[in-house]
Amino acid sequence: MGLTLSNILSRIFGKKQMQILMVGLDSAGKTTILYKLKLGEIVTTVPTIGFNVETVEYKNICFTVWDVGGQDKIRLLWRHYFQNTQGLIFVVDSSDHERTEEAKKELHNMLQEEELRDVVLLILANKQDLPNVMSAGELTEKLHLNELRNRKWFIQATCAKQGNGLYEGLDWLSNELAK
Amino acid sequence: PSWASLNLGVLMCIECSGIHRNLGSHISKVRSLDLDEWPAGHLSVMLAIGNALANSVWENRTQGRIKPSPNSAREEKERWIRAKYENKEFLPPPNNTMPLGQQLVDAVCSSNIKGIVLVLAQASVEEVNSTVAPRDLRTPLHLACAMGNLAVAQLLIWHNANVAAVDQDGRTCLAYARAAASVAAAKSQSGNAVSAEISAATSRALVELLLSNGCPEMSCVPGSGTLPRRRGSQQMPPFEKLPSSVI
Repeated sequence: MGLTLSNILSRIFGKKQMQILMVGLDSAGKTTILYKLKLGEIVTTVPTIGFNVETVEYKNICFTVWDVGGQDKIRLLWRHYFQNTQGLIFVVDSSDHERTEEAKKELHNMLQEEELRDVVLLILANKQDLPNVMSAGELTEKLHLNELRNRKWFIQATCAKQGNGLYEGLDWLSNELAK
Repeated sequence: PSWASLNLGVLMCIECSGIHRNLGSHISKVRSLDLDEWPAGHLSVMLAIGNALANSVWENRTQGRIKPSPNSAREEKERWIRAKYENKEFLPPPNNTMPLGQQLVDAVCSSNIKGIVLVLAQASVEEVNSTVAPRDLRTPLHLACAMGNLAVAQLLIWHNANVAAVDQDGRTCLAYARAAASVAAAKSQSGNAVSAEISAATSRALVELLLSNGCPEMSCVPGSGTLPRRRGSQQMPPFEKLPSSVI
């Protein structure tokens, strides 16, 4: 029947698992997003030097979300989290026009990795509450998302502070997982 | 402290860096001293400003309010930081004797960093891009580039200076920066003073900065009458006399 063990277990216990890696440049809002999903509230954060990991249950799926620090020199560590990742969330500060090029480079470099060949990609265009932000459409262009080949991707505008867009992003991920 | 706000030119602890990040990168661009790369432009601003100078502007008039100490509660620190940088409550009283754009031009010409920080704290995008005079269309960014002043150019770019602005002869900021770089290179070759070396390296970094921000080599404004004549002289650095004509 082609059912994997986890599929069988999830049929029995009714819960699917999804491993999510959340990365992006420093100060994009990754930790704020993680705890908004987990706790439903805004926590006070400081720059993440290692990682945070939480499980978030939504629509009968148990997402394990790894949030890894984004400072320049610790981006090299992202690769250590690639194994077993099914979904990649790439968070962008939509108000930071100066660093979209840097974000684009990091994203495309990462997607070259063999271990990420089959992961689905959710881009969160975060901080939509700030003045002078780029829309999801503008960021699609600036991040060259249309150049991605053999990759399922989706971009969602979010405001982690208010929680807008976060669950729409998870909806997309869960639909992809169900396929 | 091992954290910094690039555009404010100050150092801070990790807790305050978290608060600064909440302000948004249009107010404070937070980086780590250890975990981030520091290109020459970022470094030059930090060296030019620093906490003492920044606070002499941003905390000029605290009107009896007590600054939180390292042991204060986070909420108290956040209130202070927001009052200081977001609401700009502690800036000195505005100087209404001259338009802000003109004050900026003066401060850039005299490399008066404190004056520049003060004006940029209040200036609109239009004021940041105001011209020297109606017939002299150089912007503050043109002037900083002509002087090879990397820190000031970087600050102006962070304050939305238009990197594509052209002067009355169609010259871009990059043209001015290249001229300053060639003068600095010539000086560092003729003498061997360390300061000449540094200024040559700085002005090269300035050219790089402009290029990475998309500053055009030449104006491509249609109908700019002086452009065709300039095309022939593109090979030569056309503005060797520039530094002396800046002021």
